[in-house]
Amino acid sequence: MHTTAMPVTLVTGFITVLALIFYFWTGMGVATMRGKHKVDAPTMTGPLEFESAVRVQMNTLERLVVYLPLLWLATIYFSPAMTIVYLSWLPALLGIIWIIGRWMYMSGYMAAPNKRSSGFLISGIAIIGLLICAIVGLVMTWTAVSAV
Amino acid sequence: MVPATILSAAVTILAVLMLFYSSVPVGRARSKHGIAAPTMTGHADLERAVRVHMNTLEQFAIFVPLLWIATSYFALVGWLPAALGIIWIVGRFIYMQAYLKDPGTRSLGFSITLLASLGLLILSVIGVVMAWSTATAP
Repeated sequence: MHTTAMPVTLVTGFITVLALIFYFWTGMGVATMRGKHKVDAPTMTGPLEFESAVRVQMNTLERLVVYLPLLWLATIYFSPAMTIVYLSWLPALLGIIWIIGRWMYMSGYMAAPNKRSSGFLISGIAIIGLLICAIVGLVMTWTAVSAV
Repeated sequence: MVPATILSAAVTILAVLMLFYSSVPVGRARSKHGIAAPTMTGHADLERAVRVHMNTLEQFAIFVPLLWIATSYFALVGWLPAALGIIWIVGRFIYMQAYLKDPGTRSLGFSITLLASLGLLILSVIGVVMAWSTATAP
């Protein structure tokens, strides 16, 4: 089966779409706060609620560019290398955990900036998990290819 | 017929160039108004340019993955993702020109970009669902 047609890859495609919708949602938060507190563009400072929304969006973007490549590397190299079926779903599971962590980060940060840590940690652990999967997958695939 | 991936690859290169182009006014405003890095405020020209660049990056991060998921999975009309990609780039160009002149006029370009991304989102979901049905068919 071609890599792009594997069920794990399709699920990762779907998770990617969800993560992008979530990221877009954080941007909508900034637009909402601009309207609520009358902060006209291009001003990037103002009431705490506005600046918090800006930081949520920016931090999510900073993490998104790390998350998406790792999620896809893990899906393409780690999942097919796993003989235990459950393990092949690990990247997708970590991908969903990242979105949940990001959601907690956003709602925590908007409630009070010091409530952002648990969501940040959860999404951080998901990224470390994806990094490990990506490395393990690449090494296993490399070993399999060069053994032929 | 040119394969969809080649069309989308070409559009990706154009989008990368657009992202780079959106950063040019930042450097220009810095030197024009004598605002050295890392300062990000100080003159309306610089602050607008910074926002244009940042917003283009923010939208780029949504656009590129959706373009490629749509290209990989939406097989019904191969050229459609690339066509939406061109519309995205045009929208970004309009957004940039309008915002640099007057931030109040930025919504048209932004809306065009948004519609293009929304189109790609819909194609991505349809594509993934169709590919899933094919992959899991007995």
